[in-house]
Amino acid sequence: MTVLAGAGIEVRLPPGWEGSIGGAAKLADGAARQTVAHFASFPLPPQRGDYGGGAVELMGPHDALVVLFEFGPEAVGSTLFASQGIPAIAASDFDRSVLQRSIGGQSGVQRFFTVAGRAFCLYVVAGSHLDRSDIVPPIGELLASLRIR
Amino acid sequence: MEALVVIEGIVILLLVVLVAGLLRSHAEILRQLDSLGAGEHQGSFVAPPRRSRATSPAHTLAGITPSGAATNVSLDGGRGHTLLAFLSSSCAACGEFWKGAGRFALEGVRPVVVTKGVDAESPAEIGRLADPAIITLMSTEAWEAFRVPATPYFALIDNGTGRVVGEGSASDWARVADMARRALADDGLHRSTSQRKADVDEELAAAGFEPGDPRLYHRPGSEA
Repeated sequence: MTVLAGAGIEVRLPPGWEGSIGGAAKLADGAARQTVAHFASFPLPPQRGDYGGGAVELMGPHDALVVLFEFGPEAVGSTLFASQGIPAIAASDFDRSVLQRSIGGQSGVQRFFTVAGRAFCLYVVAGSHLDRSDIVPPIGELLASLRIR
Repeated sequence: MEALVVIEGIVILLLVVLVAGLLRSHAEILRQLDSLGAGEHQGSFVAPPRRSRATSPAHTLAGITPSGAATNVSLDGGRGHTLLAFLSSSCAACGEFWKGAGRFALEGVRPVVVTKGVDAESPAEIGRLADPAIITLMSTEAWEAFRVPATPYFALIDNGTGRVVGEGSASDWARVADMARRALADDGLHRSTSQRKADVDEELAAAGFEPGDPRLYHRPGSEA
């Protein structure tokens, strides 16, 4: 396993996985960019939407994509982010209707939570809903290793 | 008369030493050019004595993008191939590669530009040169792991096995693509049964067939 760290997030990537953690920044047009992390069991394309647009289209049936999207400080303490700690994901949590971008065969999970005073959305996509049980163990390893400061 | 013969002998001796030195220097230059793939063997990835068909010196490349995102690129345990292009902002021969990086297209091969880290390169300058359509990673560790001898330099990795299937230098992207094509053709002769099965899975998925798809269990032309 290799360790990837940035923007106060540290994770151990399962073998064959890769990832990217982009920290919060102020863009040239004045807009704020939040911290976004993408972890994938397949080669990530260079240009991706926050919720994996551009990457989910490349997923094979045995692939998984994990997205961690941080919301601003105003989200901390809100009802949506009331859950504390990094959530665990089970195969039964995946739903074909929980997809930011609907692609045949895929399914997803979305969870909102708060850790270390930071509010996040965890979004996980399975390349094949039928085979999702195969990708749950490496996703579980990844989430169990996730540290947020 | 004797003095003239002695002087002539000394001059001839000096000329012999000079010519021998020039020949040796020329041979050394040719040897170094050849090891970088610029000699007669430019049509293929060169420097096989270094590690061609050997395990990649790194399973993962770790670095940052010019925009500052901490990024890991996997070179083992995945699928397809990765073409690492080691470039620098100061190398004159790299200009051609910075400009045309987005035009490199070879099915199943993902190009990744690798520069040295922020200790040796300016992120702003690399960000200006980099094509956003290609992953650009700044990592001195990657350069050291691959023992990059000069720029531009390329290494083609089989992501399934983590092997380096070819490496060397070239003058433009067209030649790199040509070299990669040949290396892939050679490598295809050595694919295992499990690798071939993975290929079939990918092709079925691309055609819209999921595992367990009922269409897979009917004879063509029979009632579904």
